[in-house]
Amino acid sequence: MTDTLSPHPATPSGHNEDSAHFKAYMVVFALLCVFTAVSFVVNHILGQNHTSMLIILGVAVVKALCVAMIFMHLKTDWGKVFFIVIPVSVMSVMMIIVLLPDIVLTWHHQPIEAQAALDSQVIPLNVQPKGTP
Amino acid sequence: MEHEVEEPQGHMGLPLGNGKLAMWLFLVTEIMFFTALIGVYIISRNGLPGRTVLGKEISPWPAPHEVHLEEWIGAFNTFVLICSSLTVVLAHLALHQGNVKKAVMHIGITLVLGCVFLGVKGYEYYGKITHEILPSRIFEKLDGPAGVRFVLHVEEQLKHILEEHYKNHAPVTENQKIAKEECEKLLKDLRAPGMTPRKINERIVGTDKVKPVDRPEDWVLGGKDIKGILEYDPDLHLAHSIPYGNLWASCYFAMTGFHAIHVLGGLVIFVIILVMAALGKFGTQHASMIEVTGLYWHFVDIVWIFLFPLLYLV
Repeated sequence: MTDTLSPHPATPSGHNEDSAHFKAYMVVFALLCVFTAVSFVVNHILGQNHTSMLIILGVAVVKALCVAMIFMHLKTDWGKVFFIVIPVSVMSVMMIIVLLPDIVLTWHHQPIEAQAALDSQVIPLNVQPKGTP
Repeated sequence: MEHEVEEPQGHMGLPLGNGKLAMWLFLVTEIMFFTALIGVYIISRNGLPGRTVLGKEISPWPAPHEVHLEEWIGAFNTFVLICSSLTVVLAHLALHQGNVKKAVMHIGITLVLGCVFLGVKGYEYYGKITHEILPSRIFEKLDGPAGVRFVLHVEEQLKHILEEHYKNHAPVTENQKIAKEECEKLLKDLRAPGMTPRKINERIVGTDKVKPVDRPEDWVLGGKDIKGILEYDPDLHLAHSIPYGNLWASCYFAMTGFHAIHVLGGLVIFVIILVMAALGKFGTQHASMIEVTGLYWHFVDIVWIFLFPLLYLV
């Protein structure tokens, strides 16, 4: 079974490569913490709107890429697994896109009057305690 | 003696270990699984008809605070999972360097961090259960039979609050005292002539917080400004209308529930590794096993990296 960290730990080159890996892990960890804080602060300052949504989701994608490339060793193993990852990534995005026209985009065509009619449906309450004739 | 011809050395299959290949194949199926759940959430949320109120378009989807989601709790959980991802990858590095004891220590820390994550998630779930923010338990429509059920439920809750809650937790602050008075007034007015579920809802959440679809019959722009009971004391367990709340709750529990099950699965593997170490059967030969376990754990982390902003922030 192959291991991503291939050099023998006892050799000087192995030691240098291990310390390079350690440094990379710590840098990515620090970046992930910073990005998490950025998302939190952006949400706190900008609230919920399209700008904050784009920033926060963009930061999430970058965080995911950092974890995948460095922690999951995709940077070294990409050539061995791309044929598995790429089709699934395309299909997963397509799955959401194909549902957009029927569900997300359809309400834009609903007339404003119909929405107002839904809002105005009020039935007065007439609650009687139990046992009241 | 026959002359033996040496066969040329060839490489069969992929340049990837069986374990790693199997884990990647499993992970891509999990990508599809979680994409389906997250996709349903995105589609449902963005498929709602928006409303334009005072020139500003608002979404009827429940905001995080309306469904008792605290952003800082989600951020803390994200930090916990990021730390656990670091420790599992350091465990692999330590094992590769021949330091079995250090690797086992890192696996132990990862296990503890995973338990912390599940503990925090359990605390959040407890909050949802006590506030009845559960699929099919949230009141959304205040008209017709649903409105009647809402009023009867609120009546039951008000009696419990006044007879039990305030007996054990006497109001201390000014706001809590006002909340108690408002509860007493509301209970008295509940069956008064002209009182409707929408007006009751308004007295619970406040005029500012009432969604356009739940506006009471006498609502007029700038007409009144009632401060809701929950604005005085947000910790009271008092039902109110949360439009699309049941859809939100279904998505929330499906996504976070399945994620929590995956976290639990990872913790089981870490326990197995620690038991192997305790029995002296864990060594440097298991570096690949740790790497493959780490792949699974990092995937669980990546899923949460997307769940956190989708549920808590945007």
